[in-house]
Amino acid sequence: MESVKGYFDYNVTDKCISNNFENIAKQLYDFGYHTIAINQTIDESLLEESISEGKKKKKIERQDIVPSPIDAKIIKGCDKLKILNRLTISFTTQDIINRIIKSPNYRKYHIIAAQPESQQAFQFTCTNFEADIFTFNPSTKPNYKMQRKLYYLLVERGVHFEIMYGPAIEDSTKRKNIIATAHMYHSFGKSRNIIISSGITNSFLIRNPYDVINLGLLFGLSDGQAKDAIQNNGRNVYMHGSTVLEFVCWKLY
Amino acid sequence: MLSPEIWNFKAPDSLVKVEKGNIVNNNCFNTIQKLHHNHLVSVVLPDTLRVPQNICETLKNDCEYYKISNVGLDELVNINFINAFVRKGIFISLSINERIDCDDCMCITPNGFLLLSLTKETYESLGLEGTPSHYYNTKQRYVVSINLLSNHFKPGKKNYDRTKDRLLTLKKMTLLINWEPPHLDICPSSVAKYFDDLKFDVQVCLPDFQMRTNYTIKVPNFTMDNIHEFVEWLGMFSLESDLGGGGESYLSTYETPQPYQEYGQVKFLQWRGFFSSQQINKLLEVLISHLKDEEKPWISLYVQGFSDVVVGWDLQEHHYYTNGDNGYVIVLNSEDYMVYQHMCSKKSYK
Repeated sequence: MESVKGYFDYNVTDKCISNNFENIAKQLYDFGYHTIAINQTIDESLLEESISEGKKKKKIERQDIVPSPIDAKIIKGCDKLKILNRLTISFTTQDIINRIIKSPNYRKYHIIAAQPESQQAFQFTCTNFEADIFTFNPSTKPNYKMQRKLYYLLVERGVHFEIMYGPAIEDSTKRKNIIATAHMYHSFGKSRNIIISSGITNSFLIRNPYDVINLGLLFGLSDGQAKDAIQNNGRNVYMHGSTVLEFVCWKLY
Repeated sequence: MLSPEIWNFKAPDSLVKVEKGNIVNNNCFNTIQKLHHNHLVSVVLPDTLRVPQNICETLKNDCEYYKISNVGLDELVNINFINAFVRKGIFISLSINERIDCDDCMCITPNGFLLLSLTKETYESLGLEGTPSHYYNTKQRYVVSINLLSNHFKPGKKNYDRTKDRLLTLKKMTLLINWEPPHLDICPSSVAKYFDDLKFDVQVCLPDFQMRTNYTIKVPNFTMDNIHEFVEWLGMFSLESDLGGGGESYLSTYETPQPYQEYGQVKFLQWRGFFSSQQINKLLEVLISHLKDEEKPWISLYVQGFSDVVVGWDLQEHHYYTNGDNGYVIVLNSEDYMVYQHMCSKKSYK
């Protein structure tokens, strides 16, 4: 397996790709982030509309239910930069998951993130769904109730909990929600398996890894956890992502 | 329910050690000997109109160092190389463009140890014996130490052959090297010739020298009681910060500590390169003799080590949490000296 090094940033939103990705990638690389993931989100609400439009369309839609991953070009001067693709699935019911998993594009992603929006979806993520990252929507409060047992269940299965710092800089409501969620992770699971990612939409929000480590203290992490959150845990996510993928492929063929 | 700390955060840990003594005993040279890989040297000379040529020249002449790109580490355990350079004279080397907290780093110390600081994956695939790093509880980093000067370390011995064989599998690195020959009649560039003959890309690097003069500067009086404030002032002066105070529009201002004296000219000299402790020793000797010749209130010398070197003070393991500080300030006056060492905290982070 290829080794991954440097600091990790698993959440560079796909909005960045269209506007000046080269600049952002270069900036991240100079700061020491040598593994980054471009995040694409699929939202359940958008998919449901397409289903209701008619049976004829459904066949075509099924092919494109998961967007194909963005193929980022290698940027000059950043030879060591590793760019991964991450798919975030935001869902309230588990019905949609089966359709997504069957999609051929699904397997092209390196990292899969789950963003449950209801208690049922949360339960499903904890027990059945093979995700690498557990994330949340910073603009709303979580609709589910965290439990210690479920938190540990996710930890045991190697899922990492994501906290993004980009939205926390942008907006005060998001900041409140992010800090509240981070503290919730601290109370329920002693902040185990936390990763901190950027979630940036533009280059102004990029921060130096050492600033992020300091910021980690505010999220309820200890000194060691804060460094792990952008370093060692990031490596674990990559390992988890690639082995799960291999396992799925092996099962299929 | 347990809740995290949200208000009362501690300042980052750091260690500061202050030592005082008399110049005659020459104890201040001991400190210099403890830090082997030095990156930046700066000198502040108060009340000086003309800087003597020999101070500027000390770290400029014969202080060239070499940058060798893409060297396999097996070249460094080559027995010819060890016999010709590591055994004779003083050889130091370190890898550059690698972060000690993310990547694999190496360095060679003057006592002939090749030290590698490796990530878990590299260590496990390398297959040489090492010890887990002190700073990582989760055993994410390992330090491998190879004694190049050991009597058993020669071709034909199992350990040597295996070490060489395994080092061959490591990634190639870019190194800085500095060699001080045992005799004056040997040219220090021989080491560059050696690598050049092996068809490596060798570049000669000259230390970068800067000199600056500041006029009408308030300089605090140097006494042993206000050391922290004095060192702070030196730092502010070296960075050309605003020493004037005043200005209410700013969030924070700085004022020269009392009591102070105003000098017409204060000189600031700075060298940036790769210096061995012997070269710094020479500079300190020159500074002491300069202090004896001319009446100066004091002279200060600041030395900063590399932040991504495997070993810091006293050949103890170095690390980088959010800073990789290691350095010292020596302030001399006609009789006494004061050494102000600062280093990374030795705490292992949990």
